Amino acid sequence: MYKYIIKRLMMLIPVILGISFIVFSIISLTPGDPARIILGNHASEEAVENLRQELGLNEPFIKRYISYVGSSIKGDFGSSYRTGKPVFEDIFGKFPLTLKLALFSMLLATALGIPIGIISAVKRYSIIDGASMIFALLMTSMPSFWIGLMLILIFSIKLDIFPVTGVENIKGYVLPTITLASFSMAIITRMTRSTMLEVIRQDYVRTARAKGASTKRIIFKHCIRNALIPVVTVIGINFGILLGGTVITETVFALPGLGTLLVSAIRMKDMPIVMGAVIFLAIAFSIINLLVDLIYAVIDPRVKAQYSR
Amino acid sequence: MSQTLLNIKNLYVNYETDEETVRALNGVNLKLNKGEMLGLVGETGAGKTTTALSILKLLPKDIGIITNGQIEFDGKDLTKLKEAELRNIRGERISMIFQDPMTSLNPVLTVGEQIAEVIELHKTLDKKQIESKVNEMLELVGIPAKRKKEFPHQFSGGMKQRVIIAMALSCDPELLIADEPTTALDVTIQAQVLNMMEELKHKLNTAMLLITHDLGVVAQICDKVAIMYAGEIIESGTAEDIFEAKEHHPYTVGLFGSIPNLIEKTNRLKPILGLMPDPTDLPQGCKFHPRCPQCMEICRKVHPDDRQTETHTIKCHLYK
Amino acid sequence: MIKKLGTLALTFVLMITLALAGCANKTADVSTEKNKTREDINIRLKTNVDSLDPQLSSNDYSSNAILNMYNTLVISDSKNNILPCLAKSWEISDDGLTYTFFIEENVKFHNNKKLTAEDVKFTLDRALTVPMGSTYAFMINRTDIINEHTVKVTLKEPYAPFMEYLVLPFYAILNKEAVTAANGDKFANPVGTGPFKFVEYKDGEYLSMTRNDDYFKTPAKIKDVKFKIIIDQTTMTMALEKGEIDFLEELPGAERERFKKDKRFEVLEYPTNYLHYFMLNPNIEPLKDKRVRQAIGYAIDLEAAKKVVYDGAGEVNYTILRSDMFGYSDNIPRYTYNPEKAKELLKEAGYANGFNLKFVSVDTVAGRKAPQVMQGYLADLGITMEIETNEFGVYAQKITGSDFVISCCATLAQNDPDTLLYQLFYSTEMMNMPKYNNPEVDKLLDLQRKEVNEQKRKEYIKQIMDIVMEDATILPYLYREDAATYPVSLKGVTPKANCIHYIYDFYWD
Repeated sequence: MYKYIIKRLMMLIPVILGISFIVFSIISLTPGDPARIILGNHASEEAVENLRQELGLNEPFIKRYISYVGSSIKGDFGSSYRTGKPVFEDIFGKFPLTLKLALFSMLLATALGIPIGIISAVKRYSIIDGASMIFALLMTSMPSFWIGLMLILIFSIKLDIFPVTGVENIKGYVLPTITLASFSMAIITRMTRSTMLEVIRQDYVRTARAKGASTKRIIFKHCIRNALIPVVTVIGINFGILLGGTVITETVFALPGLGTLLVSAIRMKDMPIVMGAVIFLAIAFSIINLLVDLIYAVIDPRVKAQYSR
Repeated sequence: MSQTLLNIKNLYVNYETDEETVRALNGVNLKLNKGEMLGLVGETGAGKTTTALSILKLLPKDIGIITNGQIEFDGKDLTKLKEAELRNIRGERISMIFQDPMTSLNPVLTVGEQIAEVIELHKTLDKKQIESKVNEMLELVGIPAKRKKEFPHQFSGGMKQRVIIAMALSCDPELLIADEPTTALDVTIQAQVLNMMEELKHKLNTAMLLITHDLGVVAQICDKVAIMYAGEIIESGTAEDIFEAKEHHPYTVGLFGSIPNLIEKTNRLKPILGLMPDPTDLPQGCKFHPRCPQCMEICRKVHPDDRQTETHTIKCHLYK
Repeated sequence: MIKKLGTLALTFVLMITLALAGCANKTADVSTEKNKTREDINIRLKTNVDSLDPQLSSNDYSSNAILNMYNTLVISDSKNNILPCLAKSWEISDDGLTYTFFIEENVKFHNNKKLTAEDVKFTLDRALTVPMGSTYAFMINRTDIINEHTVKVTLKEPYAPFMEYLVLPFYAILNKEAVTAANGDKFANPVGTGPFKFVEYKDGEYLSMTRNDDYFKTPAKIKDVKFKIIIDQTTMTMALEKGEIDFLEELPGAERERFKKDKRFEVLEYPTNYLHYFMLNPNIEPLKDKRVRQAIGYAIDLEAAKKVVYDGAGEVNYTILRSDMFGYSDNIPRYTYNPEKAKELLKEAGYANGFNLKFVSVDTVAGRKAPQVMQGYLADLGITMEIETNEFGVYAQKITGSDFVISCCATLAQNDPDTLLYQLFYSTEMMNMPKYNNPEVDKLLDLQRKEVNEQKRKEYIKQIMDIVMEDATILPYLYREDAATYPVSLKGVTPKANCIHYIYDFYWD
């Protein structure tokens, strides 16, 4: 098991090298000059050239990449072109909010999505099933900025319960969390429902019924664990996506998260931030995937057997 | 005479979906006495499994529907029982072994847990007693008790079927339904499992409904035999009736003809010509008549009744 | 079946939310009574602060916000008159070359140090060295200390709009000691003399300030100021309605009617000096022929375009100069909508059947809509225009590199036309992005700049306007109109054409 974890963590190295190279290439080789963006349209060519020199942008691309890798191995990921602050100071400044949002919304999505999916599957074709499937359809078809704005309109402006912007207190998290959770929740609900339906048809469920087990017992003891295996993957992937993909929600609720930082850094061609954030997210994503795989092992003994090999 | 344990009377079962209605059982009559072993024989799709599932009311929810008939078990009509009452019968008084041991065990629970569950459900025993019962059952089917902590994927097919048998027998059921318990297994393993079942049956004095398409198996271990075709029992009787009597339903004759016989030299197998009728569109009259080599005019129009001679029953116009 | 139900339900939910959105029954508390006693204000900031050091900022929104912690030597009122601030008075030499400023004597920086001529000289000297220096401080030659509270600024050449420049955040007076200690850190704690002191800046969240009770004038009436960073326009208006912000600018044209009807809010529309214009590159075929450029000028109905692009807000402009600017005259040639004339010109130029060209635009609301409108008008002439919408970075690189046939841009003009005309038409200027090169215009621009006689200067400007309008490398579009929006109980809002708001003047009543 530990061997497996270490092996997986080692695999991160080529992954990160690959990702960093791709991102570095994309940012470097696409048009747009960071120095010009920082100084704006009005600045003279000379001032822009000086800044370019200062940021080392005139070096050839490969040389810049190698020196980036070199210094980042030593732990120096550079400083933001925009703020001049060390990259990870910026990233760690923004990450807690994004992490909290992602965690809260995954918790909400899971806490609602799994039970609703189970009920839908067990009471297939019932009113509850129909209602929850329609709800899931709505949640996946509505763009999140629209959900966000509607929530603000109803709960902030009309009903005056939650703030429009800011997360000074826990109340501020409610609407962004719901907004973010909506899509994942719909996916989890549908996934749980379909895997539950799949599992309910399995022979071992019939065996359990033949044993005289009650429906409740069958569902809790025999179905859920089996049905959750694919759902865990979906949760893991969604959580990873949420870590890097909260930008729209962050914009709607004017929250300073990692998504906004990353997107504005891409716009600004702020290479050190983009690289730092992408590497950070890649690591986070891999760790989440690893955790998902470890959770598999807890749920499914067949998988566990594979790991110990 | 021995006591009737199971008496299925005129049982009709349909599988109803939006598109079509499958007439799976069309008036099945079946009787089983305590401690007896009945072999239910027939081609795939004849309605053997449906009969078994009907007894335990395990037909697919909202699709498999009992439209008529009674299933009397120990004097009670199972079709009229509530779900909760049925639960007390399932696993305790009637238990079932399914066709495919590979998929019949829950992959995420240990075999010990799965055997313990059935005991837990029906007996008021403390943990220790359950443990020792599990051990006892495993040993009974020839699996070392220490393997109870293992998961199904760690067992071979034959071992899995033993686990399932152990599970089915743990509450000393009065009736054990075994739905083709050996089809998914290797031939050598098949023999082992069958031997074991026969042994256990004697040891525990359990009545058994053995579903199979293998006449050889039936000849080996069954007291009584019933032959099914298109949702009906077309011939039934003691093993002697079926294997030695002169008069048979033409289908039974065909069935025997399609078994390779090493003792009598036959040049080639004689398979029954044609296919089972489409259960959504059954023929009028005798359901076997399109394939019957001895088909008469009446067979096409009138559904034959049972002709009973002592223990032997045949549903055919040939015998009046 | 389920899908059909889904569609039905979707429509239903849409209807409910729209109905809820439509009826304003319970509204957030922005009541006048409660506001009257307030001492704090929350202001929307459109972007992150790019620097707390005003000389290192290249973002007007950001630098206008931080200006509240600083003072400039002079300020302007809403009529663009120059008024004293840190300079209690000044003298301009007859040749227009030297400006002597007499500095207020009892001004303290937020670090308790007294403001001296040393700091003023430091600020103006540093202005020449920072990246934006060549844009804002090109006219300064040197600064000398006369005594502790007097400095003399010598220009390279007479430069009439110099005082207007001194109003800008770029010329906020810095504390020598603090800036030296910060050593180029854009986010070091700002030390100014302004009515508000720095409290905290959180990137992506807010910039907060508190009243400077030692201000050299009467302290401000507002005590706590928070600039909240809200990028999204819809969120911004909802935050205003909810009372989470009290002041915002750039209310979208489509929202103005709604807020104007709402009795809780004041919508103050005012003209700004931000000129939006199209750029035609005279060095690339087929725009090399000025008749083609002129034809494009005649082809577009700017009034109609304004309605589409800016929801009707703004003041359409045909002459680059606005009527209240120095040198404006009704005789400046202009291109008013005349499709017949446009066709005629194209025919003369040999493009009766039109041609293809590409519009290089930027990914903003106006940047997306404006070329689309133009596309329609040009299609009437048989011209097929492709639109390329770019990220800001790509767009900036392309236009500053003159890598376009036709594009659009905007700039902040001064009330004196010199800067604007110089930037747009002087052959070596950065902002002359179509790379217009006319020695005659260069000469005239130099002449008007040095000319102290107003009448003569006006004549030069008229001559310049005649030529550049004829050559049509810049097609003016409109002067942006802004709409500051805030609760009615907020007073003292006096908008200025350069969009600088002094929160010092704000108060609740």
